[in-house]
Amino acid sequence: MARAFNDDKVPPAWEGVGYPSLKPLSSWIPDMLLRVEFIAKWLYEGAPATFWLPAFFFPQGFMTAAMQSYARKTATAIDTLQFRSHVCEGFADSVTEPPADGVHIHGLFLEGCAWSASRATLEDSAPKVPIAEFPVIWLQPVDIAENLHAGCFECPLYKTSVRKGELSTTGHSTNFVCFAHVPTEGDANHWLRRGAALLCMTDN
Amino acid sequence: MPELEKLQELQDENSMHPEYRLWLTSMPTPVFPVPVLQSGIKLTNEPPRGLKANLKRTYADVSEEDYEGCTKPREYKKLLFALSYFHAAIIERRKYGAIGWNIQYQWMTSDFETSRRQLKMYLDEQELVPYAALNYLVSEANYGGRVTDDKDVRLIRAMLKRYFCPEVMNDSYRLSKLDAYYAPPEGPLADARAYIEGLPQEEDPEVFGLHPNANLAYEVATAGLLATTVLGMQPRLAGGGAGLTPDQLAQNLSREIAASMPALLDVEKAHPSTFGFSAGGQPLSLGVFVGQEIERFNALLAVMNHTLVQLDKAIQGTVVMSAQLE
Repeated sequence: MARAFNDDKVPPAWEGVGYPSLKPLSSWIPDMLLRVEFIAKWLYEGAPATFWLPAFFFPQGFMTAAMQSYARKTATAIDTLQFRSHVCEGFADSVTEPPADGVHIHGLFLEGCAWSASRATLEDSAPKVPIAEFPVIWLQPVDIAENLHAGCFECPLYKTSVRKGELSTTGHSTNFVCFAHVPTEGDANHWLRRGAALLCMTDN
Repeated sequence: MPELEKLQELQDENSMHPEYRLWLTSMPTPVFPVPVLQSGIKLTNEPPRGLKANLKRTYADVSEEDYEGCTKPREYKKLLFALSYFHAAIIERRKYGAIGWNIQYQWMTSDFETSRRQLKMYLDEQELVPYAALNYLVSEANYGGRVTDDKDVRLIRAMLKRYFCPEVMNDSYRLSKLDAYYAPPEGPLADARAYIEGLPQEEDPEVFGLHPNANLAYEVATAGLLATTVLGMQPRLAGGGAGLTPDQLAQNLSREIAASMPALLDVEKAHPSTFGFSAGGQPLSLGVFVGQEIERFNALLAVMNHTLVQLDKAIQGTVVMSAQLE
């Protein structure tokens, strides 16, 4: 532990009970404090208008819980639903109200390509900007039969930039969270070849 | 491996046959016995670095007889180049880390060879070029057989689709955004080799479908490795001088972190809506979820609090410095 402190690394004893992160200790601490602050606010003041998805140990669990809320509210079978992602115009500070159905999530990063807010499409990254913050996403529960692919890139969301994960006993990946359907002009295969992905956090 | 080392040491030059030679082949391994290495002549065979070198090697192995031996010469030559480009591009993408592939796969010449033979067979046997079948065989069966991550399967399919398509027969079709890379017009084998020879040495990530920014990721990773290695060589025990010892530094940091630690999350003081109930009287799903997250955060905070106190004490010398604390 003393050695990890001197090397600016998260001590193994903490990593063992922590969440996946590649951050050095000096940025891991402030990030951890923000996460606790977010959870504390939810606990003591009630659910927020938009959820900081990366704060969670188990973001997949959050998605399921959000889906279940809707399923119960509308008395729909949960396995006949899926999320349609709508990219909102602004970032977390512009969201004051929760959506009527589904949830808002924020705090994601887009790697390998960029989001054009004015044209509402994916576009190539600006030079020297390999990764950028992504706006708030509204996850809207819709019928599973709806086609979400048309005009969209099925963008994978990972916890960290390592991307690779192992399957855990719950059937979830230790890194891959879900696919978000992000609108794009042109061929979605272009973004596949670009290695484009959404990430819950940066490495630093 | 120790057995091999023993055997090697038992070999006596004076009593062995003058024509006796021992050939050993091995995968890269960190446990290969050093004495065996030292007493032999070493040859390594690594795949060439870079798309151009890779294409060059592929085309060096193509025989004149094979190149001219297909009933659809134009289609075969064009698609053979597309296949070679695909082979080189997917291998070279690995150097960009996770943005290239989620997992680093060990594709081999045998994958290429199998695909090449199937390509020729399909062209010889069928009237039209079966693009869909070829795409499936090459990207999902031959190369895809090694691919275990479903996101990588999507990618390898998208990669091949750009090269194995009817447009590739068109001499003006480009294999990437760059103008320099295309399947050369139908001609003798020497022309194809000459075309490869003329390709640029330095490769833009666009060659593999990646954004030029991908080079940043590659360079940051390379520089990071260098910095970590240099840092790893730093002495652990500083002697004398006015600076603080590593122990003092660690102690200062642990006290600083301890001072910033938040209180444990107290579910007793929860807002009434957080763990509320739905109209049907069931506990709110999101409430159940946040309850589980709170447990995980409290577990983390408790471990941090405990180990920070222990480390401080261990540095002061009042508790034993365990392996975990060190």
